[in-house]
Amino acid sequence: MRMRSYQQMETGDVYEIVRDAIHLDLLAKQLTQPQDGATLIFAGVVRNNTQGRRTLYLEYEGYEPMALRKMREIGETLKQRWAVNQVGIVHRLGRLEIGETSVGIVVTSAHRRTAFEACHFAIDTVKKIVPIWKKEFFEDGEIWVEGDFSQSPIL
Amino acid sequence: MVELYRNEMLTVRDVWDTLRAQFPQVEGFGKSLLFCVNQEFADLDTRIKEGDELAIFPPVSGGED
Repeated sequence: MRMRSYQQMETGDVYEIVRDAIHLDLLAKQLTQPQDGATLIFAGVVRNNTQGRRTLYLEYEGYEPMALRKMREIGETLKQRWAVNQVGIVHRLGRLEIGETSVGIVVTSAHRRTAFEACHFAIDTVKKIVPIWKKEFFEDGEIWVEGDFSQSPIL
Repeated sequence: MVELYRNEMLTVRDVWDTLRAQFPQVEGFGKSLLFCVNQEFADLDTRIKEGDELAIFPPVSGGED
């Protein structure tokens, strides 16, 4: 069980790359303030299949310094475009089992609509511009998953 | 490690061409690669200078759907 809290920047936001379990309840509690009316929590979890082929587990690798920079950039974009109060983006690397959280995003806002829209943009953008890759391990082999090249990585 | 000695301005393309010549196996990745200079997305025409950090990688696939 994680004992320490997530490291908040001066702005209060959290951007971390971790190698152990992501505790979204803890992150949400840390980021929520009295003026918030909505705390939106998104968890990306490891699915047990890819197009019907059974996945055993996944391994994530990242270009860490750039990944962190891009996570921060996404948070800054959220705060510019929407009236969000706090942002937390945490991505896990290493081996993950089915059902475990690979990426966690928390967005707090006075109102739910804003939080939903901002969080939706955040996860879509993480999958486009944050240099992290996953390798899927199947019963009969393994493959690196390649992202969608048609999605421009420029914000 | 690739070393390039040139007097004129270098671009990402110059490094990529050198890499392709030295490691023909990267050729297969062809057009689906992303180029970054100093941890920012760039393209083949982006200029680079001594000490810059160049990263070449496939489209990202983190997170989960």
